[in-house]
Amino acid sequence: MENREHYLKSFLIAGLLMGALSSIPGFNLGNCCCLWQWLGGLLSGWILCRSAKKPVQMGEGALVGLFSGLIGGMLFSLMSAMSFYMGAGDWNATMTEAFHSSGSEIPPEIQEVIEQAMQWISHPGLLLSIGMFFFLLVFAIMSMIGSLISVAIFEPRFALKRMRQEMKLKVNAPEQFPVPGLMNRESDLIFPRKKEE
Amino acid sequence: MFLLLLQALTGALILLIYLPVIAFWLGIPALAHLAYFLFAPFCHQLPERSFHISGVQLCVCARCLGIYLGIFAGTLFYGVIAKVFFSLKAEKGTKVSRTLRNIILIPLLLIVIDGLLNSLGVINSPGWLRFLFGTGFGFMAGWLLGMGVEDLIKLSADRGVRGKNSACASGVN
Repeated sequence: MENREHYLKSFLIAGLLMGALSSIPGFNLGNCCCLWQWLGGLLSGWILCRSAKKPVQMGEGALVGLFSGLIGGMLFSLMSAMSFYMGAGDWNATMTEAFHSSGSEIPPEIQEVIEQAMQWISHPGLLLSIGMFFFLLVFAIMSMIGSLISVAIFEPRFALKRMRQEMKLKVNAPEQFPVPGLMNRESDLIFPRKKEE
Repeated sequence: MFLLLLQALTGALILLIYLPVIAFWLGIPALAHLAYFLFAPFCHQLPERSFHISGVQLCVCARCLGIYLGIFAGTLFYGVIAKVFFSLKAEKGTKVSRTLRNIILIPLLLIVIDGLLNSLGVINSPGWLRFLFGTGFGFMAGWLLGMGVEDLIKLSADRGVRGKNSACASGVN
């Protein structure tokens, strides 16, 4: 957890983008095969690797992916809830119709129990809770995987970049960051020495 | 413990995919509707691209089924088989290597190329091939997920220990 200061930026950007793209009509076609979730996770991992100053570990990738998935999932659930409440009546009708279409094969005493259970299940509030939990779960898992893939692919490249930068800094250290009080060249001195005659 | 929870959750996802078939056997179509409703945002659910059991369509297409099954198998393999038989364990703060990257890239490229060519209409790969590519990718993803979660737990545990030690050192306890 050495790159803690970069976590928030990574999962906030990726999560919000993932949630928005998954919910906007037209763009939400990208949800097919969980594409936005994978890509959101990939983005969060990439941002973390890019901004990190120290080597990124797999656990860090998993954490960033988990949070970006949860943020995206929450946004998507909220948008789904809004659209669900607009068409809740249709859903109840479909569930009731589906249940009654199978009623003839079941004994009446069991049918009664199932009917009660179905009424409970088809309650919009419960259905929404199940849906929200499910969406959060899928978003979190897929985003975590995306982020881990991103860390595994991009981290070696960024690690090399970091190493090169460090080496460059070490070689050019006196020129780039002159330390006060230390003399690099004769001309750096405010009062150059007088040449001894 | 967390790995076990992860395996249970991915297992539950697979059970949900097969729920329409179970609902058909039990004679409760409303349960099948619930399962289709839950997976609808994440898969196109086209009948010609999905597997059918006893004439009942599964909740997701062949590729998605492969991915979910692969993830479950990957986490199971990482959590049980790899540890018991090969004693593979993630060290604390696992860093990625080029070998791991190359292993990941192969199934990822296969599934991306297949998906792109299919969506562009260049090829129409059969269901079993999509399922195979999906399973390959899912297995790799599940393995990676297991590794990441275990590493995360170790990192957070290490952080907790360090926090306690620093508190003791500063005389709080």
